[in-house]
Amino acid sequence: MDGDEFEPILGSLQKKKPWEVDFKVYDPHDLLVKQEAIVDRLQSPLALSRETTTLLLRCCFWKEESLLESFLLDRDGTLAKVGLPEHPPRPKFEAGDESFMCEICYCDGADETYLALWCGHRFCRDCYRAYVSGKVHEGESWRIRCPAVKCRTLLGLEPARFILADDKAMLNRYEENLTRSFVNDLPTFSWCPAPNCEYAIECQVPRSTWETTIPTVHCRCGKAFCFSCKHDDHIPAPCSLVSMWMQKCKDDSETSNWIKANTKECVKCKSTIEKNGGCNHMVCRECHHEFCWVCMGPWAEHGQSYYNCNRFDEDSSKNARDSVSKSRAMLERYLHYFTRYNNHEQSAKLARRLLAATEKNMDQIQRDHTLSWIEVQFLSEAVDVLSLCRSTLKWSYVLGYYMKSGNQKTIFENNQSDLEMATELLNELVENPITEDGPSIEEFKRMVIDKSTYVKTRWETILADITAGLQENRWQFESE
Amino acid sequence: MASVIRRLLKELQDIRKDLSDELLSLKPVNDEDLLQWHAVLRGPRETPYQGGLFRLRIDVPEEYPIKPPSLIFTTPVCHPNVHFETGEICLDILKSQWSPAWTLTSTCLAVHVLLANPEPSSPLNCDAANLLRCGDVVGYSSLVSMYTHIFAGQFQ
Repeated sequence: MDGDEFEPILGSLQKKKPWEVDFKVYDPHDLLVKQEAIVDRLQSPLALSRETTTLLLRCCFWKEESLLESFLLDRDGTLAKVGLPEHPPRPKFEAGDESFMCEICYCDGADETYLALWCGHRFCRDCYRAYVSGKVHEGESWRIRCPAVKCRTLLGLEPARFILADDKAMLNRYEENLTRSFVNDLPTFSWCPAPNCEYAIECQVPRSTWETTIPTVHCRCGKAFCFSCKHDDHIPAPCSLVSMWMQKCKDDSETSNWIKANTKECVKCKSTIEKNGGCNHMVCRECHHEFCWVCMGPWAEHGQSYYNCNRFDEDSSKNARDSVSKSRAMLERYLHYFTRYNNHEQSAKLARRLLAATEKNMDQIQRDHTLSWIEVQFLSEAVDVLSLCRSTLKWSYVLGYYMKSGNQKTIFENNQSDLEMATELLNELVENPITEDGPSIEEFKRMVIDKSTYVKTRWETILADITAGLQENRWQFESE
Repeated sequence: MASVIRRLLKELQDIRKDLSDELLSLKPVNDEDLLQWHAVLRGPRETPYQGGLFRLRIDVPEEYPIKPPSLIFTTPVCHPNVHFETGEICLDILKSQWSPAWTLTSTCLAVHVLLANPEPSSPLNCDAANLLRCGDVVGYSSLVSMYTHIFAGQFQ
C-alpha cells in the first residue's frame, strides 16, 4: 500500500466505493516512525527537549492542537499540570554520601549508587531497577512515577531506558508497552483483533458517522473487522443492530417466545402446559383443574358438547388466543431471519473448505490442460467473491430483521434476493468438478468469470443502495 | 529474598519508635517467618470505631517492597471498604497506588485513616455504604458502634 508508486494511477482507476473507508495498516516499525514524526512536528514550536515534548504529548493523549493551544496560553501551567520540568536533567547514577539512605531497601552510606529524578527523591540503583522492571512487567510504560510516597513526578522515558539499559529483554518490553499505549491512547488507532497479529490500523472516519458508514477495515494479516466495534466484518448491518442481534441470539429470549407460542398456562394454578396430543379436555396435572384447551374456559360449562368447543368466539377466550398467536408470529419471524443468517454463516465456513478444494482443482486443471498458473486464477477469484457475498448476505438478514416494512424494505429485499440467487448459482458452478462430458475448460472458465462478474455487480448494487440509504436516513429500524 | 528480609529487619528495628496510640502493636507472627505479621489498630477517636481494638493479618510477598503487602482484618469490621466476612480491605495504596517507599507501619496507619474516612462510592460492604450514601449518619454510626462493641470490645 504505502510506497507503492503505482498507487496514484491505480487509485484513480479503482474509485473508492461509497461503503469503503480510508484506513492505513501499521507494522510495529511504522508505529515508531509515526510517533517520532508527531514528536518532531511539535518539538520546535514548543521549544522543549525531546523528552519533555514526548511526555507532554503522551499525557494529553497525542492531541497536538489542544496541547499547542494550552501551551501557548499557559506554558508553565501546562508543564506543572503534568509535573514536568522544561529540560529534565540527564539521568545518572551518583555515589552516595553520609546522608544517603534508600527508602526502599534501607541501604545507606557512600558504598551505594543512587539515582534521583528532578524531584530530589533518591533511591539506590538496585531498587530502581526492581521497581521499574516490576512496573514494566505489569504493562506500564510512561505512566511510571517516582517511587516516593505520593510523588507525582513522572519517571520519563530516558531515565527508564537508562535504568533498564543492562536488561535487554525488559527494555524491549518497555518499548513495546510504549507503542501499545500509543495505539490505545489514540481513538483513531486500533490493534487488529486477530490472535497474534501485531499490526495496528489507523482509521480517520469520525466516530459520529460510524452508524451510517460502517468502518470496515482489512488488516494485512487477512482479517477484516469493524473499526468501531471490533467485531468481524459485518457490513451492511450497523453496529447497533449487530449488537442487538448478537444479544438476541445469545440470550434465551426466544426460548420464552417458544414457551409462549407452544404452551398455555393453567387458568387456576398457572402451571405451564404443553399440549402434545389428545383432546381439548385438559386436566391440569398439578391442580386437577379441568378446562378446554381451545377457549380456556372451565370444562363444566361445555356441557354435553364434548370435543367440539362452540365457545370459540367469545371475547375472553379471543384475547387469550390473540396473545398466543402474536408470539407465535414473532417466533416465526425471528426463525425466518435466523435460519437464513445461520445458513449463510455455515455456507461461508464451507466456502473456506471450498477454497482448499479449489486449489487442488486448479492444480488438476493446470496439469490436464497445460494452462499456466495465472490462467486458472479465475477459480480462486470466484471463491473470494463467494465468501464476500456470503458475509454480506448473512448480515443483510440482520438488517432485514430490524427494518420496518414498507416500499423501501421491498426494494431492499429484491436486491437481497437477486444477490442471493446469483450467489447460489455461482456456488453451484464452482463446486461441480470438471468432468469429461461437461463443458470444455474454456467454456467453463467463461461461465465462471461471467457469473462472478455478475455476482460482484449485484453485490456492489446492494451495498451501494444500503450505504446510500443509511446516509440518507432512508431505512427505518425498529428495536423490540 | 535477601533484600526483603533486610528491609523487614530494618523496619522491625524502626517499629519500636514508630508505635503510637493508633498502632498498638505490629510484629511478625513468630521469629522464624518474617513474611507473616500481625497488627493491632485502635479505633480512631470520635468515630463509631472508638473503643475497639482491631486485629490485622499482614502477608508480605517475596517481591516486597516492589509489590504491596496484603492486609486483612481478622476482627470483623463494619465499614464500607472492608469485606465483612473475609476482612479484605479496598484501598488504592494496597493495589494500584502502592509505592515501594511505603512501610508496613505507614500502610497500617493508612488503614487507620481509612477507618475514620470511609469511601462509600467504591464499597465492599454495600449495606454500610448505602447508609452513608443516603445520608443516614446516625444509622451508620449506631450500626458500626454495635459491631465494634460486639467484635472489637476491649474487654472480651
